[in-house]
Amino acid sequence: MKHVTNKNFFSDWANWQVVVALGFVLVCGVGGSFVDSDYLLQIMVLAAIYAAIGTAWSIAGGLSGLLLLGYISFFGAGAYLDGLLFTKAGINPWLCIVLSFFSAALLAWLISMLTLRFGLTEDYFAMFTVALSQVFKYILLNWDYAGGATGIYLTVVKDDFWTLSFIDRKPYLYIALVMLAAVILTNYAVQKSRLGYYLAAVRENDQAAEALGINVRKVKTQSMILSGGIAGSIGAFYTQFATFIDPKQVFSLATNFEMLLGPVLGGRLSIIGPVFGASFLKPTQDFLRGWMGGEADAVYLILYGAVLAVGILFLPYGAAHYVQRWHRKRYATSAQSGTGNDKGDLTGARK
Amino acid sequence: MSEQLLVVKKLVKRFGGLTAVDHASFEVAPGRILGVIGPNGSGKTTLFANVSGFLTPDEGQVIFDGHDITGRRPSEICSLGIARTFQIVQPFAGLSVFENVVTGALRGGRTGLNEARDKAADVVRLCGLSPVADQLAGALPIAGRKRLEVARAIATQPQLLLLDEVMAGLRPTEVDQAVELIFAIRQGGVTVILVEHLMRAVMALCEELLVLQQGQLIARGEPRTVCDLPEVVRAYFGETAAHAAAQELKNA
Repeated sequence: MKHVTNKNFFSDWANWQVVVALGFVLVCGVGGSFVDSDYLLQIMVLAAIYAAIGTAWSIAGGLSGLLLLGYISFFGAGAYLDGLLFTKAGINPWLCIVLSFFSAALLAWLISMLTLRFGLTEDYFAMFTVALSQVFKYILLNWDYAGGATGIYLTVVKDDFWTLSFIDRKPYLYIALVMLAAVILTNYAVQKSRLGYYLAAVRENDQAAEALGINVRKVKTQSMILSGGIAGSIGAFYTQFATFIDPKQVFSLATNFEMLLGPVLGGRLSIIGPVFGASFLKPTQDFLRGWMGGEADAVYLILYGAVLAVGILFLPYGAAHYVQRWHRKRYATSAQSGTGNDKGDLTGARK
Repeated sequence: MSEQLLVVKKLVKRFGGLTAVDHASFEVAPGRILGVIGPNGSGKTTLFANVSGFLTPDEGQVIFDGHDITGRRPSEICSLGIARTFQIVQPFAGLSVFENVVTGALRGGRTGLNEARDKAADVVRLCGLSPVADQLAGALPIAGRKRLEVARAIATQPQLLLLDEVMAGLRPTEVDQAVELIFAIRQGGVTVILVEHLMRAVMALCEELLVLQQGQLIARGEPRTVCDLPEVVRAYFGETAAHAAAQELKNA
């Protein structure tokens, strides 16, 4: 029989990845507890945020194959909603994180309805999402109630878990890592579920997917809602962490592309790709900035362009692809399942 | 009429000035294998696309199992029980053969994942794809892809299967296997409509033939009889041949 019933848990590529990714998160948490430098902790928190954002993006931008280039709208919307609700209405930040999920998810649904109903796909979809993020930026820049160009400041006076405010940076790292772990698990659950199959089908060939009874528009919308909602929550957490946001920052195009660089170079169909991609790239950028000062941003932007172009050309499936090849080789002999497959989560089928 | 599984009424599809399907009406009883033949560009694939929802007819009606499915979404039509294959095969190239079939077996959410895997394993075996089940679909040779196309479609457990030239490009032995497979599918209670150029297969399989020419149904009936009709010969071979055929028919 071709399919082997009794297979090692780790021979499944998705299982292997989720364990490695969560293990890495744990290591970062333990390692972080020994770090005393606020500067280092700051970088670690930002890396965790970028890793979570990258993972969330990969659900829509990777798994469903949508060219979701303007992703920062959801992050920014979440960040601003939190800022406004917290400063103007005094709503509990934890509740804000939840509310930001729903409002960003709603935004994602609206964008999906607009674009998919009118048949905007591929590059037009990409341009639409990028343009929309900039529309939000300019609306907020000119909206005085929301602070206009000055943005929103949060004042943190005391350590209080309930109001998500800490003098020290360390608690933020722990919370960021817990969020990251939750996003990783969500990505894993999606990949292992029916939705994962639909997304794969839609990504590979939407006509054939439709012929098999998969409502392509609905599946794409679902991935957008999930992906956008998570970004909103992370945005809300970012506001609490940074204690200062302005439109040029949370709707910045440069930041937008920085966020996508991790999953694109790491592997947008994988679980480990976005996590390790961001964990490597974000600190590199921050260290460069610390080392070169303001010049780093300009240099880094040029580097981005180059790295993105080269990465997309030569690493279409990201670095994770090479890890997957190794993984397949490593477990192929023990499982005797022939060549295996790209996603690897089904080779253990029964009979 | 209620006996019929599929009823197509005066279906019209125009592309600009070209009428690809011109008032086509026919019906199919459950359990039949119906062949649709006709010269290139006669509207066979367009007819399929209209029935399966990939195109919306300009006029006319498509009624399946008592439901009016004219202009519904393809995924919805599939859920009602019509599966189709594509003339130009459309595998999910980056997924394994097995995963391709599982995707079909999920039936748009009406089947759970574990059950779908079991079903897919059965279908893979029935279609003779077991040796390549773990291979990437994109790496299959054409015969394998055609078979995968059929496997994925029947995994959705349709009542009606539309096969669009699944035998084109196959070697004679592979054609024989495909014919056997289609018989096996019909044995399982599935009604089949197939578009095919390969007359050997059509003659072996079909109980009834429809002949399309320039979007119009010009003949219908038992395969032998239909193929001898002068208008059918004319559609394929032109006036002279039709004349000769008519003479021959008269003499016989």
